[in-house]
Amino acid sequence: MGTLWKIALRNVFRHGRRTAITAIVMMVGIGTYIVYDSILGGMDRLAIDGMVRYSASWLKVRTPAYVADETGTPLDHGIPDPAGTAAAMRRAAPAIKAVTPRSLFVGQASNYIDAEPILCAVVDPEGDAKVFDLASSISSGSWLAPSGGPPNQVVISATLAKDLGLKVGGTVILSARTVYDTENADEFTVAGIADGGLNLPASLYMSYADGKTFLGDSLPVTELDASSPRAPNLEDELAASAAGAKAVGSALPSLDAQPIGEFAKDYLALKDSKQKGSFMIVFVILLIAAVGIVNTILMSVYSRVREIGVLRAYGMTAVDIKKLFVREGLIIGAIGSLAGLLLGGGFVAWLHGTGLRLASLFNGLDLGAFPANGVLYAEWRPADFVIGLAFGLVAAWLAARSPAKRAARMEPTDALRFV
Amino acid sequence: MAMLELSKVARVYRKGDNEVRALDGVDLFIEAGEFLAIVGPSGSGKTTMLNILGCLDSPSSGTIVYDGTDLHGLDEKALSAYRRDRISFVFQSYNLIPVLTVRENVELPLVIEARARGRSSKDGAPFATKTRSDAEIKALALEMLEAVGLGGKADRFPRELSGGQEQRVAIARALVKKPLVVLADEPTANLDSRTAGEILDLMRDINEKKGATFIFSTHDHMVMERARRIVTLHDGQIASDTTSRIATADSAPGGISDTTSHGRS
Ligand SMILES: Nc1ncnc2c1ncn2[C@@H]1O[C@H](COP(=O)(O)OP(=O)(O)OP(=O)(O)O)[C@@H](O)[C@H]1O
Ligand SMILES: [Mg+2]
Repeated sequence: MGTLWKIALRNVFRHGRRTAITAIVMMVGIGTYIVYDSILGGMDRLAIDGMVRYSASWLKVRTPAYVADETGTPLDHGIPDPAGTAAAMRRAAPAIKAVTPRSLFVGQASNYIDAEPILCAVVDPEGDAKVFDLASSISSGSWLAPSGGPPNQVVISATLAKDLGLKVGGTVILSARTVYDTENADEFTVAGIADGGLNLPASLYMSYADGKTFLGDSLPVTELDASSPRAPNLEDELAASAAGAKAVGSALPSLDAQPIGEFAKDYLALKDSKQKGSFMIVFVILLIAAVGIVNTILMSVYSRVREIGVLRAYGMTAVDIKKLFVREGLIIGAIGSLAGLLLGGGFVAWLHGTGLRLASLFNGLDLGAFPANGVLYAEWRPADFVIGLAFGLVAAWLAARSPAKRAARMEPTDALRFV
Repeated sequence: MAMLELSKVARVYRKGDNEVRALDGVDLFIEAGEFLAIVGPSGSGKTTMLNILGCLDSPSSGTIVYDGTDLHGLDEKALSAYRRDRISFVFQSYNLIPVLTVRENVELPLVIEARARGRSSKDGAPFATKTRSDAEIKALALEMLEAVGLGGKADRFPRELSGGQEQRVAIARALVKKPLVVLADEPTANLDSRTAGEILDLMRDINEKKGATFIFSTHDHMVMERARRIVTLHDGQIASDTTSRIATADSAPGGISDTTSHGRS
């Protein structure tokens, strides 16, 4: 029947201030949980986007032999017929937007005084810019010129520039083992300095024209990297990438196609432990809200003792008295939770649309896995809304039960005498 | 057979070593349609008596037979069901539900009844009447409000009414389910004497026209004088039991002039 709900609802609104305070605590709690979790999701996304935009790409194809010997970055396990393979990849996975080759090798960089071993990458300046964000992350100088430009130009990472005190226009001496297993060394001019944080797969980049001159004409392509339009949600992105890798893998059985998830494995494993943090937040705040609800319902019970007596005198059962007050708690819980969903949802919508510039947030701070020029977009996580609402209602229900039982246990005669 | 028979009813409150005999061997017969006042000094046991008559409390010893039903040994649940179906209350401080409108307050006993009936037929079965629809409940409530002269206030909230009006609503609420008996513990104590008189007149009027049984307690002489029968308690025992032969309320001051003493079983 509606009468219990009616009485409960009207009492909740009759004591608006009491209700509001408790509901606001719940709103803030659940809202915080939703925003926090969405930002966590956004950070995961940002970190994984960093991998996709700089190193892992949406889909990476290499030879199995190369993958098996990856840490050695060998130049003798190249992909046969890179152009044909790239075309086959596009055919197998239509989601692929662009494919570009890269060849990684180990070298030694020096400024004549200090030297350090570094990872280098030979890239196709035009194609690379279509697949990766490296070309657009040049903080000073410029990206590698397309074919026909001046020879021996390199782009180096900001870290290498700092280590060796190099500036744009400066000279770096690079030595490395060629495809003929001989050592070669040459001077290169720093054309640009790239800012990609830890996401940069190599510390130094040069074009295939320069790479072939330096390492040998038969320089193999060690990997083909593909890009695809960015999916708004991480889960979708991972799933699409996995599907693409599967299609390419079966079209090119002699090669190894790896999706994003393969490279983000360690990171994704960490994600679960961070999730526990957001549960802690919601738990603590709901605990506070639960105390508020216990208090509110107790106040409600004690301000209506005689009303309880009247209802009991007229034959209402103890069970119904309990229901009456539990429903009051549930109504407050529902108001608080729904307000929390709105608050959280509003914030997430804003952070999802506008995003937060990390550089403006953490000025000059080393952000590790996050590219300093990154923009943090909160992720929509529909499950959070369900969890938030469920948590709120269950907490309210649990909290309201004990004061409601107290109301139900009152003797009608005592309740009626109460002044 | 009397509608209500109390025999050797006692109610003892224990507090540590102290023992208070709030009722001490009360024998009483009450017929349907009576208009009975229970009077006596403070602490004489009036409230205790009404609580026991209302099945809100059980006697420590003695028996109560209501309309042929011995209430002895009924558990709280059964007493609650009996109360729901047969007994109504009017309280000193009106005790309307503040968040319900006047009409909703009057509907409440019927709603509680309908709810119990709807839930299961087993627990309320011995006293079951037919289930009423929402529309019937509403019509009955409005009819009752008309009877207490408040038909125009149906959609007001209790706080918008005067004390006398609130008590009229409480009377309508008590009568709407056509109870066996209406119990009222000092129903006029919070009202000025003129309003108290009006409330008593209303109760008496309903008693005469509809045959509803009223049992009320009071301290007030003017109120006592309008009763047809007065049971006086003293230290938990019946000190006197008198019936006025003059039935009209307006003969007030001399209303108890001609009385006979009731037999005590
Ligand atoms: N719950 C209780 N516990 C202990 N003693 C009680 C309780 N209720 C009533 N009494 C005692 O029983 C006796 C009768 O009380 P009761 O309330 O019935 O008197 P009353 O006639 O209604 O008095 P009043 O006119 O003041 O309302 C008193 O001595 C009172 O103190
Ligand atoms: Mg009393």
